[in-house]
Amino acid sequence: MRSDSVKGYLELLLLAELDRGPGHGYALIERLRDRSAGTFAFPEGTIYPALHRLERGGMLTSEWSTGKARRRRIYSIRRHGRAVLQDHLREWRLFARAVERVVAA
Amino acid sequence: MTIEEYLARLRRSLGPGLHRRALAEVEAHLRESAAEVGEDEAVRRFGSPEELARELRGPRATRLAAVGAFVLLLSFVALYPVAENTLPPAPWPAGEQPSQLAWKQDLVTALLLFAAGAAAVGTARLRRANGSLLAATAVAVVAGSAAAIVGVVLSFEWADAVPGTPGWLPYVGFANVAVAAVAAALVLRAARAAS
Repeated sequence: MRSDSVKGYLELLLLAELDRGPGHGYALIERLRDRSAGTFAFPEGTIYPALHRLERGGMLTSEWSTGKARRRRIYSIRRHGRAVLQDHLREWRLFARAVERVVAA
Repeated sequence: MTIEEYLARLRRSLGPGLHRRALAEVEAHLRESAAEVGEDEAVRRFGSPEELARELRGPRATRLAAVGAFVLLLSFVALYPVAENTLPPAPWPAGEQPSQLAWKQDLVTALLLFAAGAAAVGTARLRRANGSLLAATAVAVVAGSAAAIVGVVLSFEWADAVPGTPGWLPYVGFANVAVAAVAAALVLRAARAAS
C-alpha cells in the first residue's frame, strides 16, 4: 500500500494500537506491520511526529522506561484519546461503507 | 548511511532548538531496528532525515511564533501604565481632541482589540500547533504590527501637539515595531516550516 495512503490514517491506527496496550515507537511499528500482515509499510520515522502530535493533543501520555538496557519512550492512551478513537472509528466505518457502496455499484 | 550519519543529518536539518527527546527516540529506534535488520536497512526503513525534521520542526516553529505574538501584545499592555503615569495632561478639553490624533488613537485601539481576539482564538488551539494556530497567530501579528507602526506616527504627532511630552516616547514606539518585526519573522519561519 502507498505510504501516503497510510499516513492519512496513521493517528487512527496508533490510537487503535495503543488502546490494546502501551508501547514504544519501534514496538508500535512492529505491531502495526504484524497486524496488517505487512500491508502498512511506511517510513518508520513518520511515527514520531504523529505520536508527539497525539500527545500534545492530550490523547496520549508518555514516559521514559527505566530498568532496561535500552532507554525507550513508552506511550499510553488517555481517556480523551479513547473518546477521540471512538469518534474516528465511527467516521471511518461510515466512510468505508460509503466507498464500498460507490465502488461496488 | 550509518546511524551516526543519519542522526547528524537529522540534527542539521532540525536546526537550532532543543530536540533532545526526538533525537533520543530516533536513536533508540534505529539501534533496535539495526540489531534485527542491520544498520543500512534500519536507516532505509526510517525514511529521509530531512522529511522527518520538517515534520518535527513545524509545530515547534508555530508555537514559537505564537509566543512572539503574545510578547508583541504584552509590549503594548506594558506600555499603557507607563504612558498613563508619565505623559502630561492633554491641553484640549475632553472630547475635543484634534481629529488627526483621535482617529489614529482609535485605529490603534481597534487593531489591538482585533489582535487580542485573534490571539485568544490561537490560545484555544495552542496545544495542537496546527494550521489554525498559525493562521490566528499571523492575523494577531499583522494587526499588532500595524498598531505598532501607527503608534510610532501617533507618538511623534502627540509630542508635537502636547507640550512637555517626554522625548523618549517615540523610542518606545520604535521598540514596539522592533518586537513586531521579530514576531513577523517568527511567523514567516513557521509558515515556511509548515509548507
